[in-house]
Amino acid sequence: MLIESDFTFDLPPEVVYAGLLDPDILASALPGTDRLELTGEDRYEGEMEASVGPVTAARFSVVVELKEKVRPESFDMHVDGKGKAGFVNGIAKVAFEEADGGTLMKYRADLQVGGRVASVGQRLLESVGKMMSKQGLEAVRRSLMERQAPEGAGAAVAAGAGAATPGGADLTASSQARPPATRKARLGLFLVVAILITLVMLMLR
Amino acid sequence: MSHDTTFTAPPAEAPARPRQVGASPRRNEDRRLLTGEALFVDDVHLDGMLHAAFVRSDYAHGMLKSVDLSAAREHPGVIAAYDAHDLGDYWEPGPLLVPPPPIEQLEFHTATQVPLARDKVRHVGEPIAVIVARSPYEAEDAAALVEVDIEPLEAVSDLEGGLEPAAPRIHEHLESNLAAHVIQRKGAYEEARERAHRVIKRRFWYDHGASAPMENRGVVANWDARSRELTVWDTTQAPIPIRNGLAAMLGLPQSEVRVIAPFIGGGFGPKIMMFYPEEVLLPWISMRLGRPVKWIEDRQESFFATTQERGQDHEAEIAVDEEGRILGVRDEFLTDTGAYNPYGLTISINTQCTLLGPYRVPNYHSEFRMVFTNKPIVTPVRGAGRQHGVFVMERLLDRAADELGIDRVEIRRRNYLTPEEFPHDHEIIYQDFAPLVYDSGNYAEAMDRAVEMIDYAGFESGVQAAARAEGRHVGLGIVSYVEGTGVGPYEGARVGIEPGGRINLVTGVGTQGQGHFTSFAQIVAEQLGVGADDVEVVTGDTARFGWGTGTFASRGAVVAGNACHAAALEVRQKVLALASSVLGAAEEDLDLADGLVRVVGSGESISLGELAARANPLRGAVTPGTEPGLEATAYFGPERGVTASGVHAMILEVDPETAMIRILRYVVVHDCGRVINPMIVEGQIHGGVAHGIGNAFYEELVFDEGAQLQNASFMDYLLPTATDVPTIETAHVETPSPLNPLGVKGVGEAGAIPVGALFAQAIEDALDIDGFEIRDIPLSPNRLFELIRDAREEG
Repeated sequence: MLIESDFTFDLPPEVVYAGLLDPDILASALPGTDRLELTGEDRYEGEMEASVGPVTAARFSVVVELKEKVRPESFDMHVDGKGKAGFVNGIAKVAFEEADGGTLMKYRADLQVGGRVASVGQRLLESVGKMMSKQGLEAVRRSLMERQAPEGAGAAVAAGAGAATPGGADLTASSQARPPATRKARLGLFLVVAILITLVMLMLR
Repeated sequence: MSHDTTFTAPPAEAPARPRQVGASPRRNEDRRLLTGEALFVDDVHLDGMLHAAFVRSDYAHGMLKSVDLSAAREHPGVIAAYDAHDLGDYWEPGPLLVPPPPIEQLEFHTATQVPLARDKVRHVGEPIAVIVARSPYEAEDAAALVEVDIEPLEAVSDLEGGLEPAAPRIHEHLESNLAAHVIQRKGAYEEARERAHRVIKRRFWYDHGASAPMENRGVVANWDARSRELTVWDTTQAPIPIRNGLAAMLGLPQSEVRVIAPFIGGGFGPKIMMFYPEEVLLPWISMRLGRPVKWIEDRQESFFATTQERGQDHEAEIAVDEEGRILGVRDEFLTDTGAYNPYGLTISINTQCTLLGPYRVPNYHSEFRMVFTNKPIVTPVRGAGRQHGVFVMERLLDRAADELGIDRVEIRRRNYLTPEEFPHDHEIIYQDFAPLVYDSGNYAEAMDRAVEMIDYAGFESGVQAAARAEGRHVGLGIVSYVEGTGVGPYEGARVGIEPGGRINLVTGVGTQGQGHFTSFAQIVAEQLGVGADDVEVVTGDTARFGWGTGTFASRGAVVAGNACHAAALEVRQKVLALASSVLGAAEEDLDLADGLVRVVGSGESISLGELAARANPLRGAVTPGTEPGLEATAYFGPERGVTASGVHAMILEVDPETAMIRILRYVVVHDCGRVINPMIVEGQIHGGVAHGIGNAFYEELVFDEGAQLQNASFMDYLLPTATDVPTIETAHVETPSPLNPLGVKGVGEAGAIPVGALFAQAIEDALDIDGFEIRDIPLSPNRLFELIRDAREEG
């Protein structure tokens, strides 16, 4: 299954990229995650539960690996989720580019979906997936805008400074220098992935 | 249509026997079915009964790294849990049910299903482990706790791709995913092609679907160590082969295994003697635990765990002369067998043979490649590949008619075999390993009747023109088909008369709603001068009758029916002989009617019950060599199958904007030889047409490129409902088969066979868009909408 779409923020890419790495911003957009651990370099393992309307709670475990990180331009998320009701695996590519002073975020998740999720949920999987990812990103945009308003230009400058150094090396270096912050950032990345997975798993019964 | 539903005894002075065969009495089984007294597998409740649930693969193709049953085993209520390694020596691939027929240079590679996956999974739904618990709920909850580690492999989901050298290989012991390559030839097609006025070539896709019975599969197994008897209640179409196979697998004598196929809510093919994993494992579990075990398939499981029938990709051409006479046909196709091929070549050989239809085809080249894919196993579903062949031939004839400017009914008439041409040898081998020789038929008569009933002559200027004037699009379709039915090897029956006068009839075939309790009773009643409701019929219990093969290939009425007939004739002879000595009259002067044997003209009589009592004396002596009772067992085995045939005609309306259709009229003229019970034959046709409509316009098993089924529920897999199936007008042409004493031919699958071809032709006729052709089945409103849009854009 291919979920391919884009989303516009009225903020520059540096701000959006940094914001997306902040779990505080993303947490509200993502219900159901109750355990999440960093189990290796750029590798996270977690447990999620998805439940919406008639869809009863379905638990699944998920492993996410971050690869090809280029800050603030793009990252790839390798996803491997498994549960009683099926599996989701594949790669989500997320890219950011400046557009009219804002950011055009493009995402393309090429997911293999199997088991009961695929065989029963297929009919609504794609449309609901797209709808839910939009709703999740709307929540992110609201959070970003709220943060922008009181803090003003300061945050943007800080984010811009971070983006000035080469992406991969910078992240590795900063993760050694400031482990708690990076940990949080990675948590945020996981949550982006988790949104995509949630969309798929929402169809479970 | 009304039928004579009462049996009227003839007056004593007119000793003509009442006609049971050919009447439509009320069905004997309906009282039990309608009052809830009929036993289905899920009605079996035994003391201490356990319940099984299966852990199945979510992956279409992958290496099975590990199965961890420990959490499941600790779950409350769980009694046992097994994976492939726990089965020990019992783990064996299933039997090859149908070996390939004797066709020269045939290439065949087999891989049959395994009871539980070991090392590798090859389709979604393949069982990996089984959990046994006190309740089905506990079993399913525990099944969810099983940790299965599968390393995914690329899946084979399409036929052409599956044959490419780089394709992932599904079976390691085979060199490729090629399951079979078969060529059958008649005459010399290439020479015929040289002489042809026109050669018309097309590519067709014909997909079939799920059998979707009302009742899914189910098994209850109970090993009773004290009586040394394993009893298995099984939704199988073939209880006797299942008994024989289970006895061999479990190391038991056949006499200690009893398989009961009770009332079954529809079979349609996939309930054949498959030796499904569940069928093989439950008896083993019951013996191991010493307790009865039940498993009832749910609807979602059924989409993966029960076999289905799928698609064929045909490249076909027809060579015709100026008058539209067929000089030859060439057809090459790919056919999907799924992850395993236990049922051999049956479907594809049916396609190959049935393509020839009711036509004279002097030259034929037919070649197919069967491909393993990572999809559920393919075995016959009602029609069993015949639909595919009929679609190709009827579509080619429609195109030939267009190109030559010949009327579509006329081009068929010109090519029909005539009644004088029977028996007609098509010079190729049929699925029963016998040469494809048609026994009898009268195709032109069936077409004439259909033309008359649907008013073919007046349609274009009448109904169609009137609709066009209102801006509506109404079209007519009319197509022909044959169906090879009633194949061997044999069936048997035992008929006996009880002292109370009741007639017992026991046969080995199972029954899934065909009306056997009535039509078999009629056959026996006919010979014994009783009513059909005086005959108590038992089917599908190996303890009651242990010889036979099963219910499939539209063979019940032909093969078991004639065995019933033969047994009834023997009992009749015993009745006449005994009555002759009791009444002191010559056998020729005796007549059987109303449960009595009468001396014609004298009024003296004796009842069948009294004769039965006398045939079983309790004191005194009998003549040495005398057999007790009025009972006989007989068998029937035809030398080859018999050829049923028919014409379907339909008028439908298409809304070109929404691409929805509405069937306005549906006519079936069918020839199944001598009709035993017109109501039951019509019921079979109605059910078949409903299946056919589903196949043509609603049902489709949709897989993604990873071989994941996308619509495994009735929310998304659309079955035609009562509002989609029109009133079906039927008429019978009866050309009795010379190959069996009753002169009957099969009808179980007939209704489903030509419907795709019929839809295609009728929709084209309704829309009348230049260059608009339907080459793929199934259609759907979406698919049809796209076809209409594409044709308009090109036009």
